[in-house]
Amino acid sequence: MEPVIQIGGLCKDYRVGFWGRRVTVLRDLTLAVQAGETFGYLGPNGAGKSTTIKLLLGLIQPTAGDGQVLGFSLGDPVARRHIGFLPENPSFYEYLTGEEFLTYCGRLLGMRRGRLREQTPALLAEVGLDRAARQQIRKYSKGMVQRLGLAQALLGDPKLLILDEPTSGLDPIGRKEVRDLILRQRAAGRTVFFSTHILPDVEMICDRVGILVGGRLVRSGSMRTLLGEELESIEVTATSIPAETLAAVERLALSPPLVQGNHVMVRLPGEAELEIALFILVGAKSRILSVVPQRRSLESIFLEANREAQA
Amino acid sequence: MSGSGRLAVLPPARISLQRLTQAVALAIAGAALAGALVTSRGLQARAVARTETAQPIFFPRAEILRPALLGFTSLAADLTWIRTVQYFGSRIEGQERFPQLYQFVDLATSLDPHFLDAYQYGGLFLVIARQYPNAIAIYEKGIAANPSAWQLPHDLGRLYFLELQDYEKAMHWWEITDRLPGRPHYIPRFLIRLQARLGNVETAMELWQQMLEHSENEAIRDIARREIRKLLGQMQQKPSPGRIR
Amino acid sequence: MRRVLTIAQMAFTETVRDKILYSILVFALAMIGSSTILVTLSVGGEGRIVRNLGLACITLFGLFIAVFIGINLVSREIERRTIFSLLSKPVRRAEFLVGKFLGLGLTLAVNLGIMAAGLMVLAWALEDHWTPRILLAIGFTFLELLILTAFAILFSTFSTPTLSAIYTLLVFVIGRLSADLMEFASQFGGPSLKATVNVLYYLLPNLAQFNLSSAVVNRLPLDPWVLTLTAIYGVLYVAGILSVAIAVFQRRDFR
Repeated sequence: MEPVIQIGGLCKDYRVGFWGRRVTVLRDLTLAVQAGETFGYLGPNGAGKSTTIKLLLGLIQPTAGDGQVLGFSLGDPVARRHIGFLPENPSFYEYLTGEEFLTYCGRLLGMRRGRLREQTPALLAEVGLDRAARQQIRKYSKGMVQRLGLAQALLGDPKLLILDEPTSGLDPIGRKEVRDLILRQRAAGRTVFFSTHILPDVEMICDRVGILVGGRLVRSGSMRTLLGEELESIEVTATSIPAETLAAVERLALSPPLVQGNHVMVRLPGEAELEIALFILVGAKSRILSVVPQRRSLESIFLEANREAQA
Repeated sequence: MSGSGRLAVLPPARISLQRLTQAVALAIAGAALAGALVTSRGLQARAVARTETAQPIFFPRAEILRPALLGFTSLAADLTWIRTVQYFGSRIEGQERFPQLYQFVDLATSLDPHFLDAYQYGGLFLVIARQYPNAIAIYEKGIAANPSAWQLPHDLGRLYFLELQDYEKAMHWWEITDRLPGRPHYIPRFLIRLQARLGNVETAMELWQQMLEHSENEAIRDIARREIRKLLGQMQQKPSPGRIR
Repeated sequence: MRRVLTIAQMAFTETVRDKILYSILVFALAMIGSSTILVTLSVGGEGRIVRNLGLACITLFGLFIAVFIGINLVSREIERRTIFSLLSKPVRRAEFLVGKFLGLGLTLAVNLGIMAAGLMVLAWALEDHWTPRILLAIGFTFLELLILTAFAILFSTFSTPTLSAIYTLLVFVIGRLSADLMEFASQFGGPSLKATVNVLYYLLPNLAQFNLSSAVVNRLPLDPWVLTLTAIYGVLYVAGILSVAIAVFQRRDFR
């Protein structure tokens, strides 16, 4: 199966300032997104995530390299019939109501009147804007604008969703709603490509991840591959530990234990140490409250990638 | 008002500072505006005094003014004409001469050479002001720019006939008028009478005969008969066919 | 095509909801109405002032509408980034520009129509100073304004709103002067001046020929052949400028 998105050797330079200094925003980007997967595009601010997305949509032209979206070359308007796009910090015509705006978008997509009339209220309800449908957009809060953006991205049943910072400006409830929405799209078989710098969102829903730092793709692959199967550490929390037992456990641990009142939490390096620690603790009649294996977090990988890039 | 509740909580010193600033600001405003009013009155009085000593008005040359008007020349001609009418009307009581009347009319007609009323009324005003050479210049300018307009040679002829008693010139311009479309019906009769005035009584007689025979209008034939009788009377009084010069 | 019309309709709706439009319109009608006062000040030429002032107002206020609203149409979209949701749909950039142009053209037509109606009513009420040729003059003014609208759209594809407004007004001034400039250069100019003026004359539109007010007001004969050629010139010029705008817009990056 052909990948939904495929870019190779993509570069983008800008000329800034009075003297037209060349600034390279993207370097030699090569990336592929398969059909049906949810791809998280991560990177610090200014890494070039939005630039990549705009290149995919033909909003800007690449300096070098090329790519394909849904089999069409970058910037081909026909491809956009099957793409739903949510821009970063979206803004829409203030004088229109939410409903009018969606109708306008639908007409530009070439949707038939009947289908548009069905989908519009359904989408507005799905994003929670059904009561604000007849209000002018100028009266919408930031969160409402974001949700309207999602609605217009979903209009016309696109095969590919490209979302630039979809959870920006949303409160935790809003963020959960967006994640749920993306999961629903994934269940419906759509490909979702979204950029963000909020790691938990990616951890929870993505199949594959790409990390962009300074215009270069420094990591990419499935979550499992990136994070590895190995455990980083195991956290054991226990109470009623006699002092000698604690000292013994401490020797096994990675760092000094964390004490909060009665509760003591130790971080052990691996399963071997876990066995020994549990044996000692149970033998000392301590109460074991929890054993939590810690995989490598995305955050640690992200920070590591960032550090490498700075060097 | 949401503010009034909070104000009650503020210490009294703050309240009076706010109120004091307000009061001072209003006082200054009142004084300044009153002063502005007085000054403006003073300026007005001066302006009135100044217009009474007739200041010469600056007249730009039409060729230089024209490009700056960006194509709105016709409108500019209208506005100049309105100004001309005002200029002429404002001084009519004072019985002054109108030193800049010609410049006004010339500018209006330069801005729009097809502005017939400006030539006609402008010429008329100049005649009333007894500026005959200026009037003639205006009419001739108008005729050059509008060769098919009968009104202008008609008025010029009338000027020569009535004011200047120059019957030859009158005849010249009325002959031109006669050939233009739409010219008034009395022009041919004027021309015949002019012939008589100039002493060409026989020519005049012939022309009246023609009119009597060919006109379909009874009233005109009456006029023709009367004129023939008058001329016959004239001819009988002066038996020798002399030229009255 | 359907997309172009959708955009045109939205552009029209957007401008109609713009309050500035109403201020301009009210002001224009007031100025046209003021000619009633001017009529009383004149003797001779009464009918002319109504027609001249009416046509001049229609031209000037139409110009304001074309320039300020025209520039907002494209510049504001880019500035406020509302253009992203548009260009991410299957809309070609050319369709966007043409749609905006048509929408603005419609707005202009409606506004000119209202002003023309006002002028008609006035002229008819004030002792019948109306001639149908006034409509012809207004028609050519409309064409002149369409040319300027195309320029406004061209400039706003690559320049800031303020600069675009200035450039478009410059085009209006030079366009109206170009015939005079040609004459001036041929009489007084050296060869380099003549060459420069020649370039300006052919590059920028000669707008003076769209100004029929003198001929209409003075009831002079109009040559239908000349009028037809002028109309064709206008249409071709509009198409040309819009094409340049489309070409520029194609290569533009939207950051």
